[in-house]
Amino acid sequence: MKIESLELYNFRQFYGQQLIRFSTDNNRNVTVITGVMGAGKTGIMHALRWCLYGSSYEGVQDIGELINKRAQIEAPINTRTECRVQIKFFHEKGHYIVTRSLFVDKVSEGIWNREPHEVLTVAQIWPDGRYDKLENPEQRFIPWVMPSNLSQYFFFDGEKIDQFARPGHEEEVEDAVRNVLKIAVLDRSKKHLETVAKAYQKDLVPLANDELKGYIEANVRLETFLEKQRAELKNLQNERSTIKKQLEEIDQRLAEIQAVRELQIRREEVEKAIKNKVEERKRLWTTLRETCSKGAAPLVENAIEKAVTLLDEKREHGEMPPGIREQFLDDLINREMCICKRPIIKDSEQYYELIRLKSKTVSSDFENTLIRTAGDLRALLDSAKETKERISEMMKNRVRLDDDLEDLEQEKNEISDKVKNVDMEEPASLEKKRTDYQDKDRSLYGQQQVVAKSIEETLPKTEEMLNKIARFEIKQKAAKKLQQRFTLASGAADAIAKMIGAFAAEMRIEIQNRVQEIFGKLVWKESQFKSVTVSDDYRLEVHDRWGLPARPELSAGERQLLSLAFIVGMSQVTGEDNPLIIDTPFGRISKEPRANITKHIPEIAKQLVLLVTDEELHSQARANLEQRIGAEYELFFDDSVGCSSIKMIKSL
Amino acid sequence: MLKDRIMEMFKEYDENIREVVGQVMEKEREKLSQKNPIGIIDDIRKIIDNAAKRLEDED
Repeated sequence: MKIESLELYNFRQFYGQQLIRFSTDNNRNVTVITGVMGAGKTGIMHALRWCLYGSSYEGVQDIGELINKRAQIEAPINTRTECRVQIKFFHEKGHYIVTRSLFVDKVSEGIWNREPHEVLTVAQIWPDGRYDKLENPEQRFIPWVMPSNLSQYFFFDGEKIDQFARPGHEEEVEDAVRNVLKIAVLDRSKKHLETVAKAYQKDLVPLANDELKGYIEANVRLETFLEKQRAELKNLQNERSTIKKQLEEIDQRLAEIQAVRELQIRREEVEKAIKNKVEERKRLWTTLRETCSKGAAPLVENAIEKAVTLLDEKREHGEMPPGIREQFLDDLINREMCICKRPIIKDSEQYYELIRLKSKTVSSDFENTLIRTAGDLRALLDSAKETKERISEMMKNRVRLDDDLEDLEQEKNEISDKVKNVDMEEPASLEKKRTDYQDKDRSLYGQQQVVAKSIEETLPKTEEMLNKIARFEIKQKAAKKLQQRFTLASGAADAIAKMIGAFAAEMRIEIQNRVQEIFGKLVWKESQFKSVTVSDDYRLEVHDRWGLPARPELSAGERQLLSLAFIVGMSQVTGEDNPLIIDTPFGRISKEPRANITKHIPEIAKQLVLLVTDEELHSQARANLEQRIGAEYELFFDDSVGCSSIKMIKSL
Repeated sequence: MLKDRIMEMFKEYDENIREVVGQVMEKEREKLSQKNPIGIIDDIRKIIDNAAKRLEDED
């Protein structure tokens, strides 16, 4: 989506007709709208959202308030006053005009009929000037362009977006990822397809014979079991997530208590080291498994060695061909010349030596096979030795890792004991709680593994049952139809279920990489922050130069930037070129970092609209942005009439 | 585009399943803003019906 223009007519504080033409240029992609506080910057944002989604979305209490007060007062009695917002934009190669109008009737002086009368029209404009009015735009067109629940990630108040970076706001991060990246769409598709499949299955039962009924009943049982297990898994995940948060709170509190601060910092380092070692051990196991599964050569190394020795002995005793091919000897005899260019004269000593060697060669195929076998066995032996050495090296590493882990675990326990024994009530009781939570988490983790394994084992069984139902030969026409529909619905639900986890994980990693890149550019203390991660439970975390979590220490401005990086990262992963419209983008950011941000901010979106106060954008920050500004407007509030107007300052 | 990437994941599946998944996703996206999307079950039934009819015609 690329917005071309926004036209306001008697909308809120904007009296009469007002127009903003946004920059659609790819290089000068920034549109700046400046206005003092109360001049109508937020009104512009409201206008965009109201036009697309209407009064109910905007939470307007009294829709009459949307119509400019001056226009209402000036209207003669018994006339209708209109307010209107029109957006022109391009979306996926189409050119559209969306217009939303609202009317009130002036009944008498000071009295208006404010029954909601809102009209939305959408037209597609063709290059030759023709246009087509689209049917039912609210239900189909607008959600296609940008569903209302996604607009918050593209049109937002810069000062209020820091929720993504605040501790304890994982749900917002998860919601955003799920909504923007269509994971919610996949989830809902799966859920509703399952409902439909169940309904077909239910309808099929009375028409089925006993064998098919048996399959269907078995499938229902398996599905019910899976549903329960999945719910159980979700509960366990939620419970562990709550414990994780509680542990974090305890850790934060312990880090604040002077007497145990050092111990807490060391514990964080030790826990991080344990995590890394566990990961390393996991990777090592994978490599070890892969190496072992590549071949059983190391296991039969002795046998290969014996075979090679036997072949060598045979060759030495002349029981094996010497390794010279018959064709090669024939070539030398025919050419009457050795490869060293010396002549081989017929009936000479050399000639008879070649004839003697030739008599020792066997048929070409057999000879080739023997020569190749000996060579292959030697190569196999080398590879077996090499693999054996690698496995031995890996086993040594494994022992080293196990030892390291044991040491680290011991140090962790010692730290815990020391904290418990500090002569202060709070740390000791916090530590006890911490140990209890960790024990509980370990137990939950065990249960989680059991449930996950049970799900993993049940899935192939449901698949097998579905295949049996699909393959079952049904003669009755009605039953056959239902069977086909059931197979389609359950097959589609099953396909989504298999893909969704992998897709979500892939998207999470992509977002993480983008957020890290963008945050690294925007943040002014670049060297202070090493990495940004989005964990599998959607925790947005920043790590400092020592690799320790730094999110709780972020300033309000840094949190704002991290959130912005997150929104932009998500938007980039979608591949959809939606505009970013930010109200008060630099409100919380001081002069020096602001100058750094303005250097990079034009790169974050194809179209960027900044609604700024006069104080937000000046000096170096303004100079940095200058070359990228394609359009600029100023909002003026006229105190004498209580209305705002829009003045164009710059346009391409 | 994200939709293409998602559909790419289903390339191993039967064409009819792919089509059903694509159309159901489109419908779900239209109604994503609604917490309890009205009429979605009927919409999906229609999609399945159409796909099944196509299969019946082929037979």
